[in-house]
Amino acid sequence: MLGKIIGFELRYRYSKPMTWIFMAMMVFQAIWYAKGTYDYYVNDATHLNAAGIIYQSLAGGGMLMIIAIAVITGTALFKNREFGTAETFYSYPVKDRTWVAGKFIAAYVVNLSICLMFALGFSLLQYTGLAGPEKFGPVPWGHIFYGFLIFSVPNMFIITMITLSMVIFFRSMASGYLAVFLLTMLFMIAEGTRENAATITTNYLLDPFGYCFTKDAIELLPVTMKNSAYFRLTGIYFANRALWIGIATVVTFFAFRTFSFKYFIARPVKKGGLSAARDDRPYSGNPVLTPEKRFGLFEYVKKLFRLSVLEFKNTVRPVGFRIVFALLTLMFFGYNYLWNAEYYIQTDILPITSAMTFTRLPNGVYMLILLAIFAGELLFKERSSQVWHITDTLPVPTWVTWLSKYLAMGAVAFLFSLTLLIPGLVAQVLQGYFDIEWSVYFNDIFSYHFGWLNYLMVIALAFFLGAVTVNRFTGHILTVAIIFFIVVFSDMGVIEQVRFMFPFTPGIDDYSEMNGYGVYGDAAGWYAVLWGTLALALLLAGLWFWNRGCIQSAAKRFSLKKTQLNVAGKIGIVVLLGAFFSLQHYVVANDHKLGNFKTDNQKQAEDAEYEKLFKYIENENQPLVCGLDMSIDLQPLQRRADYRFTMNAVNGGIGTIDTLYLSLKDFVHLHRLQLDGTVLQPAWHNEKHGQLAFALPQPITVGDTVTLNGTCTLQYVGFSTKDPQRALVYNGSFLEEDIIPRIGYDDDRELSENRHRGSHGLAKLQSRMNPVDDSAARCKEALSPGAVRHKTTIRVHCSGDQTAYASGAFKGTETIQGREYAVYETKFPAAMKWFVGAGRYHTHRAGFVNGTQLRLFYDERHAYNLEHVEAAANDGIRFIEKYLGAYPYSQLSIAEIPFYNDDDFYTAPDAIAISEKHCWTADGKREKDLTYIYYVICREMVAHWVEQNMQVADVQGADMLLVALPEACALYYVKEKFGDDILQIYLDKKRKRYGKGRGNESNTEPPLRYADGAGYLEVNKGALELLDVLQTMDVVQFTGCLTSWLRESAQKKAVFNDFYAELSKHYPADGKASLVEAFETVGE
Amino acid sequence: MILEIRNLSKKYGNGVQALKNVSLDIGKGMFGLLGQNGAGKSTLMRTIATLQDADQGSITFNGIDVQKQPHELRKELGYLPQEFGVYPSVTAEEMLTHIADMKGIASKNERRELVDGVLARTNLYDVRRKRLSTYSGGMKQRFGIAQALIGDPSLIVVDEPTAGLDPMERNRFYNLLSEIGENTVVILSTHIVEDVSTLCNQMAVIGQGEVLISGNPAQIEKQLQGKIFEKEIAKHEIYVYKNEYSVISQNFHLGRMHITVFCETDPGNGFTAKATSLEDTYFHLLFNQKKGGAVYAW
Repeated sequence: MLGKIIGFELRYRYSKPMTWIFMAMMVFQAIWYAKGTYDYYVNDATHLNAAGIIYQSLAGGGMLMIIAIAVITGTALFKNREFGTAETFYSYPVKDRTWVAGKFIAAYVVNLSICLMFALGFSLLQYTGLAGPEKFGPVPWGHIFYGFLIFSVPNMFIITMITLSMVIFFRSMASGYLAVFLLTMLFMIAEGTRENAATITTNYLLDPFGYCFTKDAIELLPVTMKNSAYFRLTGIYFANRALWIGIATVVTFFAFRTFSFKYFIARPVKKGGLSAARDDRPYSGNPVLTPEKRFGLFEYVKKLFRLSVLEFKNTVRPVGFRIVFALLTLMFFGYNYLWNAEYYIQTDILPITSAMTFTRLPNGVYMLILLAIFAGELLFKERSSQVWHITDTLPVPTWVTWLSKYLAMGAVAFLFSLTLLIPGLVAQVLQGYFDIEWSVYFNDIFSYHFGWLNYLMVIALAFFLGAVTVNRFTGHILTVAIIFFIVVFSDMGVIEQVRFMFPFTPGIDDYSEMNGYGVYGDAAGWYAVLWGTLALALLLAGLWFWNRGCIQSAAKRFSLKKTQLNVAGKIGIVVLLGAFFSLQHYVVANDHKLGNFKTDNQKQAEDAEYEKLFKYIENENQPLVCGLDMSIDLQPLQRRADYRFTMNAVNGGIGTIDTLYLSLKDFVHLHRLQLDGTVLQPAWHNEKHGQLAFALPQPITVGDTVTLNGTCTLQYVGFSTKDPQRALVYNGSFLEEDIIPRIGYDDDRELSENRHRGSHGLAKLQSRMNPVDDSAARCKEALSPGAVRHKTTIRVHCSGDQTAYASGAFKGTETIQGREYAVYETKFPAAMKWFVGAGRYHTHRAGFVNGTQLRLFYDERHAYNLEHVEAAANDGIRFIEKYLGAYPYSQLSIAEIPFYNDDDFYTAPDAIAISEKHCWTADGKREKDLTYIYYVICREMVAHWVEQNMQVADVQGADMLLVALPEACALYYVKEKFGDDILQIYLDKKRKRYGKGRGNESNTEPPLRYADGAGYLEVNKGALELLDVLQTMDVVQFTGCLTSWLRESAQKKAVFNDFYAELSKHYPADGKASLVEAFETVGE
Repeated sequence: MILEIRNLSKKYGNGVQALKNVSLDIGKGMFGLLGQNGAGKSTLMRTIATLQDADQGSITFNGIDVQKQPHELRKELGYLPQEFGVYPSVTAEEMLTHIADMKGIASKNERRELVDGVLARTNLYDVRRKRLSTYSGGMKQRFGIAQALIGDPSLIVVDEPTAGLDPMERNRFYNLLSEIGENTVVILSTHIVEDVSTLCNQMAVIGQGEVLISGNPAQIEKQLQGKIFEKEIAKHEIYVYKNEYSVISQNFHLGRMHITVFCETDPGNGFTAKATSLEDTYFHLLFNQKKGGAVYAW
């Protein structure tokens, strides 16, 4: 009998086109997931069909899988109840438990078969044309099967059993959906908090799918193992599987015990039910009233609102909705209370409002899906409850019922928004934080930055698709598929342009505490209107196509003559679509055509082209900057900077220079250039690449110094949807030395990842930096290869109410042509590394014992840790003076800058710039976070010392001195000030980051002595190993060795390889082997 | 007050011709539409109730072109469909109030009064605040009647309304309908001949989408006077009789088979003349249609 039940169920399920559609979609999902994961692992040698990618994808399962399971699983059991066949089937000679066992097994088999398509999809990757054949290994059949076995088989068991058990317990399909939803939520919470989990094991165990530990394990694997290793089953794997299979088994056991035909078929009867309601009285003869009937526009509008209220009540009344609402509220509260960006920024931050509203982003897709489904359910409510036979004959225009549903869903969406607002507020208050920013809550949650207005647009889409398909489930599937398609493909980078990402607006995940949505905000308003017109058009078109009464043929439903929407409405659709396409044109004109947007591929192609066209300039002798005097006028609100510079340049090469090459940063306009008073006209100007060449009237002979005078403008115009255009923003502008025309060839534009170099026809890099034996590079300074050490004077003026600052010591103010300029000057010659900033700053001043003057430029809302920053700076000076020598600067300005600059920390003479996400909003009450403030301030001040005292050569190992050395010193400072336990936290993090970084190395990891500027290497492994050396040798001996080496090699640029040799000499003999291993080898 | 149906035809996408050139004039009072399952009754009812479009033909009610002005007709319409559902989480009172609102009763007090009235008329007043999902089949049907009565409709379309009702409930319902039918046009669609014969002053029989006959039930009943005969036979003899006579119906009485035949003259052979009923006429019409080669959509 069991076999017959299973056989029937399988035949039924496989006879449904939906099953096959899901299977086909799973194949598609395998391809897109593999591509997404492959893009994440940037190493050139990673295969697109790497085993690690397959394991990771199979463990996650993917959203489509979740939808498929949610839709299919519960119906195995519930359809008999729903379709009314239970009464007959349950009367057949079959045992209750045999029946339910058959259904469980059949549902499991079906789910496994769908999942198998996902697994098999990976075998098709080779044939998709996603990449050339060199990007693929052989079809990893063994890994596919193994991954299916260790992930899919148990995961499907867990989901199927729990889902069906819930259907039994609660005798409703909704409980099955909720079970899937809950499991997915647990997965999302475990994954979302994984990066900063206090006890990662909890996250590993909490995740029902085993994705979290799989992802961590895969990330740590070197490329070869990612490509071909079989996933190692560790204790945590078995613990997770045992836990969840155990839970599923226990739940299933109780479900089996609960299930009986009588139980499952019974309808719940409430106390005081209607058994006594039977009434044998004749229908009483009350006369039929002849009421006054009123129709007309005014009445219809009133009805619209009354009906909306009723529809709203109908939607929110069912227990299912309340459960979803409670779950969302709890989940967001958990996120707001527990989740913190600590992993990304190293400290817990205070519960600032933007951190609370951030929660809407990682979970937003679920909000959209839930709303889409609720919208579809409400739209088809009359049909699914069969009451349409009555309601469709009522004398109410279709637009009234249609819009009332939309308004009701708008109110439901508003309730959903409250699940973000309320937990955020509660989390803030519970943590004793009362600086609540209502405008941020409003803008983020109720506006168009992925807020309520965006939800309304998705509801319009769901309504439209429901009207077009005239089928509730098809409508659901299509809407959810479109949302996923947009979300996943934009996340993967397949869709790069926001104008294809309905209903998203630019910059939703780039909110800056200082600058708000900045330039994205300008564009976002237009995008909101753009999507709004489309949503309105969809809503009107949905009203037009909506099928009132019996289902009509497609020809009738889509007929132009259909009067459900009047002529004005139809014209409205045309107008709205016209507006939509006009706005598309407008945003393209403001974004693409003004050069504000390039796809990644376009950008890479341009960079590759630049290298191909102008690489030769690198070998041309060009003058080196040896002095700079600049005046700059900032107009942040206009995103414009006008500046004049006088630059001294010396021919430090071995031949005369007759051509001057200049490279301009994007959006920089060079108005005029003079050489020693003579105006220069470009011999050629490649505007696309901003490269110019000037034939000099007089060659610059060897050793000669010339003066270049120029005037430039940096101006951003139009929208930007991808680039924050950080140099000039409304609040927190931050300009660096690259705004000055760069002499020669700009090697910063070169593609550094071999994968991209290869695909654009460029030779792969052996190293990202010049080799240590490159004599020419050894003569250049890594911080500014195009300059010799020189003094810099910067005069800065800023319009409006903003305060401007610059690196260098503040020398007072000068008034030029009625404008007051703040003057900053470097006391000592330094590398060409400086910055200028402006913003609506408050300032905090302090003086230290050694005479150094401190000024903090901070956003007025972020005054939480000023005293800590001040104390840390004071401590930093003491530490430097104790071990390294005098702190080089008499002034120290520390400025807060928006987070979207390339780096989080910048150093230049007399100044440090720190991202708004570090220190300023850290929770200084917690010791761990307080130590971070001290640590980073000390590190940056040591960096000051290094940069001023060492001229580090532009060869491999440069960042071991410029980055790793300050890191190591700061770690030692942490140990000294806060003890070993706190230090251990930092060390653990660095080890973890190194592991992940090397797992994702884009080229080839070099030994530390040849470190070539890889983002993960020097800062993590380099710092750890140097700290080890420092502690082994003793800090005094280490710093003594450093300073004496610097003195001895004062006449040449510092090379880490030389310092390493020096260290080796002083290193204890019994530790030499480990020193060699640490700096000269690359471990597995 | 008249509903005029002219040359109405409807063919479904699967090729079934649901209505063929149907023309009827339906005046005030109860009008019975009799037909087998699948005869096209519900299609006609839905078309009148504006839920479906016809391919050809027209329906007008008091000058309202139903197909072109469905919204105008809906203002006059009370419709009880053959099958309908309810919002599970809504009470009868809420639902009826909502329907009253939709039917144009703007005054809140009037709505309340009206809803109370129809609830009382259908014996649902005591359970008006219970959710509709808790109603039994009979109560749900009463609710359906109540909603159809709201708004004082001048055209009431009831499609097989007594399906699922016990005999007593059915009687009460018909009493109510006949009472309402005094001042309005009521179209009752059914496959139960007795319903039409006892209630309706006008009727039509529909088969395979065609109007087979229409008129006064009593007159229709008399059409076959003297041409209907019956006989008790053994069960196994039925095929013999079917070959030799126009057997229009067969039924069992006390375990014995009785057949009814149509014959222009007395067929003899033990047949006795039968006082004709509307049912005999109905069966005869169906028999004729079947004999004509038509295939019934059962």
